[in-house]
Amino acid sequence: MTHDPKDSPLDALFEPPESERALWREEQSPEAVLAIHQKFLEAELPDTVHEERFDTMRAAVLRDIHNNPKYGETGVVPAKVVFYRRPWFAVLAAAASLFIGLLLGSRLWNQPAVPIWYNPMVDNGQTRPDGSRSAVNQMVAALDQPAADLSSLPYVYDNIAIAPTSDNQVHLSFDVATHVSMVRPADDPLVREMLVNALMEDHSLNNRLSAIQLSDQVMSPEIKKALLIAMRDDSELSVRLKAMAKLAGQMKDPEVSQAFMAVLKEDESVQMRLDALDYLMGANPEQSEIDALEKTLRERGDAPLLMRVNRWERH
Amino acid sequence: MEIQDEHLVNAVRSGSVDAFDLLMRRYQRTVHQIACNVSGDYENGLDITQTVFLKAYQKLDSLAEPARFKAWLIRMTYHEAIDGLRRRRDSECFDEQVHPAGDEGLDGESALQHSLHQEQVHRLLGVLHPKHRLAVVLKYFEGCSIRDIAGTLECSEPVVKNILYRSLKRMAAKA
Repeated sequence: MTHDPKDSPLDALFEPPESERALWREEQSPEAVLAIHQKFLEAELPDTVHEERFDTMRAAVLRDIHNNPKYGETGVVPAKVVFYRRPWFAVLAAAASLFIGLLLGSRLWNQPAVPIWYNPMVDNGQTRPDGSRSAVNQMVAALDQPAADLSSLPYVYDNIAIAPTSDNQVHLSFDVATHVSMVRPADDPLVREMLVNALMEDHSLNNRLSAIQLSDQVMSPEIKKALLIAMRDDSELSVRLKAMAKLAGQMKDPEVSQAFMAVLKEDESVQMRLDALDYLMGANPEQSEIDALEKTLRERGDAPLLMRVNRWERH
Repeated sequence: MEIQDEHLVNAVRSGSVDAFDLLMRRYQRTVHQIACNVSGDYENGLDITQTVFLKAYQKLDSLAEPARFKAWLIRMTYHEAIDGLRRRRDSECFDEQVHPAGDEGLDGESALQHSLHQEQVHRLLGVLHPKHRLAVVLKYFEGCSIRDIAGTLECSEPVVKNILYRSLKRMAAKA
């Protein structure tokens, strides 16, 4: 029997894919394969089992089911659905998408005006003329910079203003604040700066009194000026008195003595004026200075202080 | 009108044992046929069938698509038959199996011819790999389409055609 490779009977039987078609056409005896095919087509397998035996089998299965029911009338077991087709997965996915979107949005839209690791004092390399770094600079250096992430950002930027400049740069203007807790030597520049700030700060009386208490250990031009301001302008008499007591030791400083004179003229508290007078007279002033002092008191009509001056003169 | 498998499966999941009885009636011969021909154990085919239905009931909640109950049941039967085949250590050759007579209702010479014919078919099936045997049984005894067989075996249609062709060729060589 001749075999036409272009017309294999197996093609019609199995509709072979193109890759297999050539191999099938090489089949030398497709008739044998077709004969088996025909044999199986004619193989009417009889019902080898009687219906009664199937009935028995089913009865055994149903008996077992009745003894160990898995699906109760009330306890409906839902079909096992692939997890990503379940409603809770959709809700979770939506919530996750929303969260990620918000996170990305906040990152993109609420970025600070400057990188979080940027510190103007440090990055600009600002140093004082004497070569020392400012207290703020040291404070910044004391922190571990740069911050690793936004959540641990130690600074709070406020009043941010951004404006482009003509030379393709950006002008940044902002306030920066942070909270720092540390222990430093009493003569540390940062301590001095904090003392000055505390004296200028009106919020806490205790802080101002403590700052004055510490000021004699770290007296500096800045602290002296802060004490002078506190002595003349602080709203609390106790602060003014204590600042005066601290400055009394520097009466030879013309700036201090002039400030004491100003207290004599202007301070509303008699106690302040009397103390100022005592400190001035106790510093062994020149007669010309005493005369100028008496003149001032007469002009002001300050009888209690004139009597105190006379007492000092008698001594 | 025949109730669809999907509805019956859902009814079973809702607690209806009658629905499962209906499913068993519908597929008991298919399961038995596959169990016998894949395992080659024609004596214990009914035991395998019973085991398959019990397991099907227990695992029915793992069926993702109730509409594909038949394919799922056939796969379960195939695996159960393979397990039975492995358990039968002393009966690896199909030729030694006790095949069913299957000539009830026939008489004389035709009954004899029919019996010989069946015996030859079973002997030829025995030379095939169990998976190929399942494909042949589904194709010729259950009348399944190539597409249905591919769905049951979880492979592509060209693969099923290839399996069938190679199975016929192998059986032709052994005939």
